[in-house]
Amino acid sequence: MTSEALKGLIGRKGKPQVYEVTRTDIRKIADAAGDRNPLYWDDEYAAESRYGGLIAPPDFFGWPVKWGPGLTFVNSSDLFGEIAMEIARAGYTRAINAGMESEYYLPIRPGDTIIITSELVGIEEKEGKKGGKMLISTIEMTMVNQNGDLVARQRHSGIH
Amino acid sequence: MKKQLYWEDVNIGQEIPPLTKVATTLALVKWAGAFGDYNPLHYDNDFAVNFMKTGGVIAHGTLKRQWLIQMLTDWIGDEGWLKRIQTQFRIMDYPRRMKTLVEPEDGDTLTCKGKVTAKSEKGGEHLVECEIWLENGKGEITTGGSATVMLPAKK
Repeated sequence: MTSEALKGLIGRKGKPQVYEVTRTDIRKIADAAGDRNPLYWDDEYAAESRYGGLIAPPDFFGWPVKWGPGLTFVNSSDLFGEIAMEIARAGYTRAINAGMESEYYLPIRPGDTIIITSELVGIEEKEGKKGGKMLISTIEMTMVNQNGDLVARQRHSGIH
Repeated sequence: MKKQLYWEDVNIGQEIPPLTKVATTLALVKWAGAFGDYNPLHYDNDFAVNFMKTGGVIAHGTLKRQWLIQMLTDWIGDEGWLKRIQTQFRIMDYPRRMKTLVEPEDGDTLTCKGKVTAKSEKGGEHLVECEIWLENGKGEITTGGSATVMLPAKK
């Protein structure tokens, strides 16, 4: 049922995005979630822990790469903007976050440089529960640090 | 130092200590800024009603997910590691408006909950599988999911 134009988007990759991690970024995220875990806040405490220093909460980079210009930080992904345009052309102008799955391999620390690549891995048109069609898109993000080590992977599904 | 949970102390069916949270308009704006999700759906009521047809601004799925993550990381302690988490956003949660600069209006309180569904030892890793979910004030599950955590072992 899914149109060829939409299917043709599968495998489309965004340009790698580079994020430099600071203590302030980590604390902003932890504060916004209301999480006072000392591993995110207290240098001395964190130095004594198994991590040997501050770390970022899981999902630190869970979403920003998803949006086009203006809807997130300055270095937003070109991938989502392109896909959103194609999807809009097929008649779907709205998007809702349907679900996310992540695997975490290494902690993110202040001073790290995280390189994120995103790829559209799935697109499928379905009959909606209330009739009418809906579209489900899945984007996979891979996060690697400055040493080339895999930090995390995440798949994100949007309903359009 | 925090109390540490060990793999041997965990049993199938065991509940994870719940975590309660209040979604406020203030919390949503903070999350939008810190996380970098500037979708007006989470702060512009007219946009939410007229364009998104959600009936009003809604809490970010990513914030609800972060609360579930916090429940897990609080439980597994500094020596534990969250390996995997999967969440589905099923029902929208509406934030409480602010009554004063620091105090929200009365309204819904959200509770993160979870329970242990399986335990295993694989390749030297001591793993625990959990079902996790977030309930609104009516007891409806608005976000569901599962997680895998790695815990230290005593032996």
